[in-house]
Amino acid sequence: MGEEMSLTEWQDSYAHRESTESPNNVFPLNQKRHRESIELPRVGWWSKIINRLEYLVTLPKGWDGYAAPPVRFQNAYFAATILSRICADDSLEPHIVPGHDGDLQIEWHLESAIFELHIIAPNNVIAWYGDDSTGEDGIERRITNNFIWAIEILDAMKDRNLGCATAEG
Amino acid sequence: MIDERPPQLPDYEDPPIHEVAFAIQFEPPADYQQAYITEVWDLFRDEFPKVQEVESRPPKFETFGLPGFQQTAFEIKSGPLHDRFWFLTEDEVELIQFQSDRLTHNWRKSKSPDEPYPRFERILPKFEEEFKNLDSYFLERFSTKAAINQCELTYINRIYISDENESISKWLNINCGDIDFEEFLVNARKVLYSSSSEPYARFHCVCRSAYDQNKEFLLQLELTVRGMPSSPDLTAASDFFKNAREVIVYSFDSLGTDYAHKKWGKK
Repeated sequence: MGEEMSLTEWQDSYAHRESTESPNNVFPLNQKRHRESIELPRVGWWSKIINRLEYLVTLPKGWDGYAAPPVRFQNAYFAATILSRICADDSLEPHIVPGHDGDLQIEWHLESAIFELHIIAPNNVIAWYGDDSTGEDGIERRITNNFIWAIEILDAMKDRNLGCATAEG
Repeated sequence: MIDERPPQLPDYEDPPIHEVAFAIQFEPPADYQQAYITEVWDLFRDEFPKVQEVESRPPKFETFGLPGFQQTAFEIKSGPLHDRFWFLTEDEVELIQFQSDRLTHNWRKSKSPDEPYPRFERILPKFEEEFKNLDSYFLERFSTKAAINQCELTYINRIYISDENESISKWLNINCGDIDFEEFLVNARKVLYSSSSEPYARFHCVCRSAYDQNKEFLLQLELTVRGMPSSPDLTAASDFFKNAREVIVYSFDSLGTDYAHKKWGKK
Protein backbone atom coordinates (compact mmCIF):
# COMPACT_ATOMS: atom_id res chain seq x y z
CA MET A 1 0.00 0.00 0.00
CA GLY A 2 2.88 2.37 0.71
CA GLU A 3 4.94 3.63 3.54
CA GLU A 4 3.08 3.80 6.86
CA MET A 5 3.94 6.31 9.50
CA SER A 6 3.50 5.82 13.19
CA LEU A 7 0.79 7.94 14.70
CA THR A 8 3.27 10.30 16.28
CA GLU A 9 5.21 10.69 13.04
CA TRP A 10 1.93 11.63 11.42
CA GLN A 11 1.21 14.13 14.17
CA ASP A 12 4.58 15.75 13.56
CA SER A 13 4.09 15.85 9.81
CA TYR A 14 0.53 17.16 10.19
CA ALA A 15 1.92 20.43 11.50
CA HIS A 16 3.61 20.94 8.14
CA ARG A 17 0.45 20.71 6.11
CA GLU A 18 -1.30 23.76 4.69
CA SER A 19 -4.60 22.70 6.26
CA THR A 20 -5.93 24.90 9.01
CA GLU A 21 -7.26 21.85 10.85
CA SER A 22 -5.03 21.27 13.83
CA PRO A 23 -4.75 17.71 15.19
CA ASN A 24 -6.99 18.90 18.03
CA ASN A 25 -10.01 19.24 15.71
CA VAL A 26 -9.90 15.65 14.58
CA PHE A 27 -9.13 13.06 17.18
CA PRO A 28 -7.44 9.86 16.17
CA LEU A 29 -8.86 6.88 17.96
CA ASN A 30 -5.58 6.62 19.84
CA GLN A 31 -5.78 9.59 22.19
CA LYS A 32 -2.01 9.89 22.60
CA ARG A 33 -1.35 13.39 21.39
CA HIS A 34 2.06 14.25 22.70
CA ARG A 35 4.89 14.53 20.22
CA GLU A 36 7.64 12.00 20.42
CA SER A 37 11.05 12.69 19.05
CA ILE A 38 11.65 11.07 15.70
CA GLU A 39 15.23 12.29 15.52
CA LEU A 40 16.80 9.09 14.28
CA PRO A 41 19.86 10.07 12.25
CA ARG A 42 20.31 7.72 9.37
CA VAL A 43 23.97 8.53 9.15
CA GLY A 44 26.45 9.31 11.94
CA TRP A 45 27.35 12.78 10.64
CA TRP A 46 23.75 14.01 10.19
CA SER A 47 23.49 16.10 13.36
CA LYS A 48 26.89 17.64 12.67
CA ILE A 49 25.65 18.74 9.24
CA ILE A 50 22.43 20.21 10.65
CA ASN A 51 24.45 22.10 13.26
CA ARG A 52 26.72 23.39 10.51
CA LEU A 53 23.73 24.60 8.45
CA GLU A 54 22.25 26.31 11.52
CA TYR A 55 25.56 28.06 12.04
CA LEU A 56 25.75 29.20 8.41
CA VAL A 57 22.26 30.76 8.37
CA THR A 58 23.21 32.88 11.39
CA LEU A 59 26.52 34.19 10.08
CA PRO A 60 26.79 37.96 10.49
CA LYS A 61 26.65 40.10 7.38
CA GLY A 62 30.19 40.66 6.15
CA TRP A 63 31.41 37.37 7.62
CA ASP A 64 33.88 37.12 4.75
CA GLY A 65 35.45 40.47 5.51
CA TYR A 66 33.39 42.17 2.76
CA ALA A 67 29.60 42.18 2.48
CA ALA A 68 28.61 38.54 2.26
CA PRO A 69 25.21 37.78 3.75
CA PRO A 70 24.52 34.61 5.74
CA VAL A 71 23.45 31.52 3.88
CA ARG A 72 19.78 31.92 2.95
CA PHE A 73 17.43 29.87 5.07
CA GLN A 74 15.71 28.20 2.11
CA ASN A 75 19.08 27.26 0.65
CA ALA A 76 20.09 25.59 3.91
CA TYR A 77 16.78 23.73 4.04
CA PHE A 78 17.11 22.67 0.42
CA ALA A 79 20.62 21.39 1.15
CA ALA A 80 19.36 19.30 4.06
CA THR A 81 16.51 17.99 1.91
CA ILE A 82 18.97 16.96 -0.82
CA LEU A 83 21.26 15.19 1.64
CA SER A 84 18.29 13.42 3.15
CA ARG A 85 17.39 12.24 -0.35
CA ILE A 86 20.80 11.16 -1.67
CA CYS A 87 22.78 9.85 1.31
CA ALA A 88 22.52 6.28 2.44
CA ASP A 89 23.62 4.94 5.81
CA ASP A 90 27.18 4.42 4.63
CA SER A 91 27.59 7.57 2.54
CA LEU A 92 30.75 9.63 2.72
CA GLU A 93 30.55 12.63 4.99
CA PRO A 94 30.06 15.91 3.12
CA HIS A 95 31.48 19.34 3.91
CA ILE A 96 29.36 22.47 3.71
CA VAL A 97 30.94 25.71 2.53
CA PRO A 98 29.11 29.05 2.45
CA GLY A 99 29.12 31.19 -0.72
CA HIS A 100 29.30 34.95 -0.89
CA ASP A 101 25.71 35.56 -1.95
CA GLY A 102 23.60 33.49 0.43
CA ASP A 103 24.46 30.36 -1.54
CA LEU A 104 26.35 27.31 -0.33
CA GLN A 105 28.28 24.32 -1.58
CA ILE A 106 28.13 20.70 -0.45
CA GLU A 107 31.42 18.96 -1.15
CA TRP A 108 32.84 15.47 -0.97
CA HIS A 109 36.60 15.07 -1.23
CA LEU A 110 38.72 12.04 -1.85
CA GLU A 111 42.39 12.07 -2.79
CA SER A 112 41.45 11.09 -6.29
CA ALA A 113 37.98 12.62 -6.75
CA ILE A 114 35.90 15.65 -5.87
CA PHE A 115 32.14 16.11 -6.05
CA GLU A 116 30.44 19.44 -5.45
CA LEU A 117 26.82 20.55 -5.34
CA HIS A 118 26.60 24.32 -5.58
CA ILE A 119 23.18 25.38 -4.32
CA ILE A 120 22.47 28.78 -5.85
CA ALA A 121 18.77 28.62 -4.93
CA PRO A 122 16.15 25.90 -4.43
CA ASN A 123 15.78 23.96 -7.69
CA ASN A 124 18.94 25.65 -9.04
CA VAL A 125 22.00 23.50 -8.36
CA ILE A 126 25.24 23.15 -10.29
CA ALA A 127 26.83 19.74 -9.81
CA TRP A 128 30.49 19.20 -10.62
CA TYR A 129 32.51 16.00 -10.51
CA GLY A 130 36.21 15.54 -11.23
CA ASP A 131 38.67 12.67 -10.98
CA ASP A 132 41.74 11.53 -12.86
CA SER A 133 39.64 10.34 -15.78
CA THR A 134 37.60 13.54 -16.28
CA GLY A 135 40.53 15.92 -16.46
CA GLU A 136 40.58 19.37 -14.92
CA ASP A 137 37.31 20.42 -16.54
CA GLY A 138 35.43 17.61 -14.86
CA ILE A 139 31.76 16.95 -15.56
CA GLU A 140 29.24 19.68 -14.83
CA ARG A 141 25.47 19.35 -14.75
CA ARG A 142 22.68 21.69 -13.80
CA ILE A 143 20.12 20.04 -11.52
CA THR A 144 16.71 21.26 -10.41
CA ASN A 145 15.12 18.56 -8.25
CA ASN A 146 16.26 15.17 -9.60
CA PHE A 147 19.41 13.95 -7.83
CA ILE A 148 19.74 10.44 -9.25
CA TRP A 149 23.06 11.36 -10.87
CA ALA A 150 24.38 12.62 -7.52
CA ILE A 151 23.55 9.24 -5.96
CA GLU A 152 25.46 7.44 -8.72
CA ILE A 153 28.47 9.68 -8.19
CA LEU A 154 28.43 9.19 -4.42
CA ASP A 155 28.14 5.41 -4.83
CA ALA A 156 31.13 5.44 -7.17
CA MET A 157 33.13 7.59 -4.75
CA LYS A 158 32.27 5.29 -1.88
CA ASP A 159 33.50 2.29 -3.89
CA ARG A 160 36.64 4.21 -4.82
CA ASN A 161 37.21 5.03 -1.15
CA LEU A 162 36.71 1.44 -0.09
CA GLY A 163 39.10 0.34 -2.81
CA CYS A 164 41.75 2.71 -1.46
CA ALA A 165 41.18 1.53 2.09
CA THR A 166 41.53 -2.09 1.01
CA ALA A 167 44.72 -1.35 -0.91
CA GLU A 168 46.20 0.45 2.08
CA GLY A 169 45.15 -2.30 4.43
CA MET B 1 -12.31 35.22 -15.92
CA ILE B 2 -13.52 31.86 -14.66
CA ASP B 3 -12.44 28.88 -16.74
CA GLU B 4 -14.91 26.11 -17.45
CA ARG B 5 -14.53 22.85 -15.64
CA PRO B 6 -12.90 20.26 -17.92
CA PRO B 7 -15.90 18.19 -19.05
CA GLN B 8 -14.07 14.86 -18.88
CA LEU B 9 -13.27 15.20 -15.16
CA PRO B 10 -15.39 13.05 -12.82
CA ASP B 11 -17.91 15.25 -11.02
CA TYR B 12 -19.99 14.88 -7.87
CA GLU B 13 -23.12 16.62 -6.55
CA ASP B 14 -22.04 16.38 -2.93
CA PRO B 15 -18.39 15.36 -2.54
CA PRO B 16 -17.17 15.02 1.06
CA ILE B 17 -14.76 17.94 0.71
CA HIS B 18 -13.91 19.50 4.05
CA GLU B 19 -11.05 21.84 3.19
CA VAL B 20 -9.08 22.91 0.13
CA ALA B 21 -5.73 24.71 0.20
CA PHE B 22 -3.74 26.33 -2.61
CA ALA B 23 -0.15 27.18 -1.66
CA ILE B 24 2.77 28.86 -3.38
CA GLN B 25 6.25 28.84 -1.85
CA PHE B 26 8.81 31.35 -3.04
CA GLU B 27 12.18 32.80 -2.16
CA PRO B 28 11.50 35.55 0.36
CA PRO B 29 12.72 39.06 -0.45
CA ALA B 30 16.07 39.52 1.25
CA ASP B 31 14.98 42.76 2.93
CA TYR B 32 11.57 41.58 4.15
CA GLN B 33 11.04 41.90 7.90
CA GLN B 34 8.03 41.10 10.01
CA ALA B 35 7.59 44.84 10.65
CA TYR B 36 6.05 45.02 7.15
CA ILE B 37 3.19 42.65 7.95
CA THR B 38 0.52 45.36 8.14
CA GLU B 39 1.47 46.46 4.63
CA VAL B 40 0.96 42.89 3.47
CA TRP B 41 -2.37 42.63 5.31
CA ASP B 42 -3.47 45.89 3.66
CA LEU B 43 -3.27 44.11 0.30
CA PHE B 44 -6.07 41.78 1.39
CA ARG B 45 -7.80 43.52 4.29
CA ASP B 46 -10.95 44.56 2.44
CA GLU B 47 -12.03 40.97 1.96
CA PHE B 48 -10.04 39.49 4.87
CA PRO B 49 -10.58 41.86 7.81
CA LYS B 50 -9.68 39.44 10.61
CA VAL B 51 -6.17 38.31 11.57
CA GLN B 52 -4.60 35.55 13.67
CA GLU B 53 -0.96 34.88 14.37
CA VAL B 54 0.35 31.31 14.36
CA GLU B 55 3.66 29.51 14.25
CA SER B 56 5.48 29.58 10.92
CA ARG B 57 6.18 26.43 8.93
CA PRO B 58 9.54 25.37 7.50
CA PRO B 59 9.97 25.26 3.74
CA LYS B 60 9.01 22.08 1.88
CA PHE B 61 10.72 20.78 -1.25
CA GLU B 62 9.93 17.73 -3.31
CA THR B 63 13.21 16.24 -4.53
CA PHE B 64 13.93 12.93 -6.20
CA GLY B 65 16.68 10.40 -5.62
CA LEU B 66 16.75 7.37 -3.36
CA PRO B 67 13.56 5.34 -3.67
CA GLY B 68 11.65 4.40 -0.52
CA PHE B 69 12.66 7.74 0.88
CA GLN B 70 13.12 7.46 4.60
CA GLN B 71 12.22 10.76 6.13
CA THR B 72 14.92 12.16 8.33
CA ALA B 73 13.64 14.73 10.76
CA PHE B 74 15.55 17.95 10.93
CA GLU B 75 14.97 21.45 12.07
CA ILE B 76 17.12 24.40 11.18
CA LYS B 77 16.63 27.26 13.55
CA SER B 78 17.71 30.62 12.22
CA GLY B 79 18.04 33.91 14.13
CA PRO B 80 14.84 35.97 14.13
CA LEU B 81 11.83 33.74 13.51
CA HIS B 82 8.93 35.09 11.49
CA ASP B 83 5.37 34.15 12.37
CA ARG B 84 2.68 33.03 10.00
CA PHE B 85 -0.43 35.17 9.73
CA TRP B 86 -3.98 34.15 8.89
CA PHE B 87 -6.07 36.83 7.22
CA LEU B 88 -9.68 35.69 7.45
CA THR B 89 -12.99 36.65 5.87
CA GLU B 90 -15.66 37.89 8.25
CA ASP B 91 -17.32 34.45 8.31
CA GLU B 92 -13.88 32.75 8.51
CA VAL B 93 -14.78 30.35 5.71
CA GLU B 94 -11.86 31.51 3.57
CA LEU B 95 -8.47 32.69 4.65
CA ILE B 96 -5.09 33.68 3.35
CA GLN B 97 -2.05 32.37 5.17
CA PHE B 98 1.08 34.47 4.79
CA GLN B 99 4.65 34.05 5.95
CA SER B 100 7.78 35.50 4.41
CA ASP B 101 8.19 32.61 1.95
CA ARG B 102 4.67 31.27 1.40
CA LEU B 103 1.18 32.33 0.45
CA THR B 104 -1.78 29.98 0.91
CA HIS B 105 -5.51 30.31 0.27
CA ASN B 106 -7.83 28.00 2.22
CA TRP B 107 -11.52 27.29 1.92
CA ARG B 108 -13.06 25.52 4.93
CA LYS B 109 -16.40 23.79 5.17
CA SER B 110 -16.17 23.61 8.96
CA LYS B 111 -17.04 27.28 9.29
CA SER B 112 -20.12 27.09 7.09
CA PRO B 113 -21.31 23.48 6.83
CA ASP B 114 -24.34 24.29 4.65
CA GLU B 115 -22.38 26.16 2.01
CA PRO B 116 -21.34 24.03 -0.95
CA TYR B 117 -17.72 23.88 -2.05
CA PRO B 118 -17.23 26.89 -4.34
CA ARG B 119 -15.22 24.81 -6.82
CA PHE B 120 -11.69 25.00 -8.14
CA GLU B 121 -12.60 27.30 -11.03
CA ARG B 122 -13.74 29.99 -8.58
CA ILE B 123 -10.88 29.76 -6.10
CA LEU B 124 -7.92 29.59 -8.48
CA PRO B 125 -8.47 33.02 -10.12
CA LYS B 126 -8.87 34.57 -6.66
CA PHE B 127 -5.60 33.04 -5.52
CA GLU B 128 -3.86 34.15 -8.71
CA GLU B 129 -5.01 37.72 -8.04
CA GLU B 130 -3.87 37.53 -4.42
CA PHE B 131 -0.43 36.35 -5.47
CA LYS B 132 -0.17 39.05 -8.16
CA ASN B 133 -0.94 41.68 -5.53
CA LEU B 134 1.73 40.30 -3.23
CA ASP B 135 4.25 40.08 -6.06
CA SER B 136 3.59 43.68 -7.10
CA TYR B 137 4.04 44.77 -3.50
CA PHE B 138 7.37 42.91 -3.25
CA LEU B 139 8.54 44.58 -6.46
CA GLU B 140 7.56 48.04 -5.30
CA ARG B 141 8.86 47.64 -1.75
CA PHE B 142 11.92 45.44 -2.17
CA SER B 143 12.67 45.73 -5.91
CA THR B 144 12.32 41.98 -6.30
CA LYS B 145 9.66 39.62 -7.57
CA ALA B 146 8.79 36.39 -5.80
CA ALA B 147 10.58 33.45 -7.45
CA ILE B 148 8.19 30.51 -7.03
CA ASN B 149 9.93 27.26 -6.14
CA GLN B 150 7.09 24.98 -4.99
CA CYS B 151 3.33 24.72 -5.49
CA GLU B 152 0.95 22.62 -3.45
CA LEU B 153 -2.72 21.76 -3.80
CA THR B 154 -4.50 19.86 -1.03
CA TYR B 155 -8.02 18.47 -0.82
CA ILE B 156 -9.16 17.17 2.57
CA ASN B 157 -12.22 14.95 2.51
CA ARG B 158 -14.19 13.75 5.50
CA ILE B 159 -16.11 10.55 4.93
CA TYR B 160 -18.57 10.11 7.76
CA ILE B 161 -19.33 6.51 8.60
CA SER B 162 -22.42 5.97 10.69
CA ASP B 163 -21.42 2.53 11.84
CA GLU B 164 -17.91 2.19 13.28
CA ASN B 165 -17.99 -1.48 12.39
CA GLU B 166 -18.56 -0.69 8.73
CA SER B 167 -15.64 -1.82 6.63
CA ILE B 168 -13.37 0.85 5.13
CA SER B 169 -13.49 -1.04 1.87
CA LYS B 170 -17.21 -0.25 1.60
CA TRP B 171 -16.21 3.37 0.93
CA LEU B 172 -12.69 3.23 -0.42
CA ASN B 173 -10.92 0.77 -2.68
CA ILE B 174 -8.55 -0.22 0.08
CA ASN B 175 -8.64 -3.91 0.89
CA CYS B 176 -8.24 -4.69 4.57
CA GLY B 177 -9.03 -8.35 4.22
CA ASP B 178 -11.15 -9.67 7.07
CA ILE B 179 -9.24 -7.70 9.67
CA ASP B 180 -11.36 -5.49 11.86
CA PHE B 181 -8.83 -2.72 12.56
CA GLU B 182 -9.24 -0.58 15.65
CA GLU B 183 -7.42 2.27 13.97
CA PHE B 184 -6.44 2.92 10.41
CA LEU B 185 -3.66 5.03 8.92
CA VAL B 186 -2.24 4.81 5.42
CA ASN B 187 0.31 7.15 3.90
CA ALA B 188 1.12 6.56 0.25
CA ARG B 189 3.06 8.56 -2.35
CA LYS B 190 3.47 8.53 -6.10
CA VAL B 191 5.97 10.41 -8.25
CA LEU B 192 4.48 12.50 -11.05
CA TYR B 193 6.37 12.96 -14.32
CA SER B 194 6.32 15.79 -16.84
CA SER B 195 5.82 15.29 -20.57
CA SER B 196 9.62 15.09 -20.86
CA SER B 197 9.65 12.16 -18.40
CA GLU B 198 11.29 14.18 -15.64
CA PRO B 199 9.90 13.92 -12.09
CA TYR B 200 8.38 17.24 -11.07
CA ALA B 201 5.94 16.54 -8.22
CA ARG B 202 4.58 13.98 -5.80
CA PHE B 203 1.03 12.91 -5.13
CA HIS B 204 0.46 12.20 -1.43
CA CYS B 205 -2.50 10.23 -0.14
CA VAL B 206 -3.14 10.02 3.60
CA CYS B 207 -6.18 8.20 4.91
CA ARG B 208 -6.89 7.77 8.59
CA SER B 209 -9.73 6.97 10.93
CA ALA B 210 -10.72 9.62 13.45
CA TYR B 211 -13.50 11.27 15.44
CA ASP B 212 -14.57 14.86 14.95
CA GLN B 213 -15.41 17.28 17.76
CA ASN B 214 -18.96 15.87 17.93
CA LYS B 215 -17.47 12.41 18.43
CA GLU B 216 -18.70 11.28 15.03
CA PHE B 217 -16.59 8.59 13.39
CA LEU B 218 -15.04 9.36 10.02
CA LEU B 219 -12.31 8.61 7.55
CA GLN B 220 -10.19 11.63 6.68
CA LEU B 221 -8.78 11.39 3.17
CA GLU B 222 -6.11 13.98 2.34
CA LEU B 223 -4.96 14.24 -1.24
CA THR B 224 -2.01 16.53 -1.99
CA VAL B 225 0.10 17.29 -5.03
CA ARG B 226 3.31 19.18 -4.27
CA GLY B 227 6.20 20.02 -6.56
CA MET B 228 8.11 22.41 -8.75
CA PRO B 229 6.35 24.44 -11.46
CA SER B 230 7.95 24.38 -14.92
CA SER B 231 9.21 27.95 -14.38
CA PRO B 232 9.24 30.21 -11.29
CA ASP B 233 6.30 32.39 -12.34
CA LEU B 234 2.56 32.58 -11.80
CA THR B 235 1.60 31.28 -15.25
CA ALA B 236 3.53 28.06 -14.61
CA ALA B 237 2.10 27.87 -11.09
CA SER B 238 -1.45 28.12 -12.47
CA ASP B 239 -0.71 25.30 -14.91
CA PHE B 240 0.66 23.30 -12.01
CA PHE B 241 -2.54 23.76 -10.03
CA LYS B 242 -4.72 22.75 -12.98
CA ASN B 243 -2.70 19.56 -13.51
CA ALA B 244 -2.63 18.88 -9.77
CA ARG B 245 -6.39 19.21 -9.57
CA GLU B 246 -6.83 16.62 -12.31
CA VAL B 247 -4.49 14.19 -10.54
CA ILE B 248 -6.42 14.64 -7.30
CA VAL B 249 -9.87 14.32 -8.85
CA TYR B 250 -8.99 11.21 -10.85
CA SER B 251 -7.34 9.68 -7.78
CA PHE B 252 -10.33 10.48 -5.59
CA ASP B 253 -12.61 8.90 -8.17
CA SER B 254 -10.42 5.83 -8.37
CA LEU B 255 -10.23 5.43 -4.59
CA GLY B 256 -14.00 5.69 -4.07
CA THR B 257 -16.16 2.59 -4.40
CA ASP B 258 -19.40 2.44 -6.41
CA TYR B 259 -21.24 2.70 -3.07
CA ALA B 260 -19.34 5.87 -2.18
CA HIS B 261 -19.86 7.35 -5.64
CA LYS B 262 -23.62 6.89 -5.23
CA LYS B 263 -23.60 8.50 -1.79
CA TRP B 264 -21.65 11.48 -3.13
CA GLY B 265 -23.90 11.89 -6.15
CA LYS B 266 -21.48 11.06 -8.92
CA LYS B 267 -22.77 12.59 -12.18
